[in-house]
Amino acid sequence: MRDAGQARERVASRTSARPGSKTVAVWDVPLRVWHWALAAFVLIACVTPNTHDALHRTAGYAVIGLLAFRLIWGVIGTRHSLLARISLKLRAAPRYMINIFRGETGRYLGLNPAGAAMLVAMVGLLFISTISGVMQVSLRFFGVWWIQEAHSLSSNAIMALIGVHLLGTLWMSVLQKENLARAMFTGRKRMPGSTPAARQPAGPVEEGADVAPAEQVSMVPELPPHRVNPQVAGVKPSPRMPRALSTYDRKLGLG
Amino acid sequence: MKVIRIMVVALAAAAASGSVALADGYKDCTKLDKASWKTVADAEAKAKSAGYEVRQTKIEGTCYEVYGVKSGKLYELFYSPEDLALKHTKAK
Repeated sequence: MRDAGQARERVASRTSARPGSKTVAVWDVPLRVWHWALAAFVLIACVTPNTHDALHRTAGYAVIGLLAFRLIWGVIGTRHSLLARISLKLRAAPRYMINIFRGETGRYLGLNPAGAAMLVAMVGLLFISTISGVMQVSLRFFGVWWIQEAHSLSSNAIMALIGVHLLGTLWMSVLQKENLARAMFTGRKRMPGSTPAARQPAGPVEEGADVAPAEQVSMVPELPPHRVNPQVAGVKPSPRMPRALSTYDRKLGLG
Repeated sequence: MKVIRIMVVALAAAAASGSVALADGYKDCTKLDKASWKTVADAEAKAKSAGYEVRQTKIEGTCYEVYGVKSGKLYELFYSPEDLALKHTKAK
């Protein structure tokens, strides 16, 4: 089901696509740098416990910094970095994950509900792991068993989640015929409506006429909808990525 | 799909190296049979007599790993269960 918000979104998405290209900017630069920096430091932390304490600790502190950045960026970042509406996607997540196993997915430009669940689980566990790690080497909590347990259990869960994340990304890439790992490098994803199987000719496309059937199967609307900029209406594409939650959205009752 | 292929390889490599990645620190103290080990309490008593405040003791491999605090500093002391010799000290 597509609602008015999504229809508007498609218009707005097109404005931020490069002219002539069939991709659209989704992940902003800070988010991509965050993702890969986090991956790198977590990997370092995974291979250094007990053997390289100093490096392990440095990686942990770096992860804490990155977590803090993500929370801030989730408030002030661009549309697909925002965390404001993540609860909507979380509610859709169980259903969505069941459907993934059946090979049925709804395509989302930003995080899909399973991705949102992964983000929350990963950030939560990283928080537990890093904080308990710091506590573990504090005078107050050194040698306290439940702190050690919290650290090792959460860290093991993170390593398991990394595997799930990789497999999930891989599986979604196959299902949606889009290399999602590359999208996390380039920040760009296939424009809604341009399927890799049947590429649309460049140029203006009619509203609703070009959407591949698979792309209409999103279970919750991709919220928040873009702000409709009244003065644009096909004038010139905005160089900035569209922001999500505006006063205008709230006035419309969308906030 | 090249990146995907790289991801698959990375995943396989990560799975294969899992046991290596989780390598422990110091853990070989004795070859003596566990039945004839000295007790944990003995190891803790030895750490205490050396001036440490004992927080916890674990068995790490074939070592007693005593978590001790001495003058505000954190140490992990590795004792041999065979003769309670201090094999290794790690400042945290």
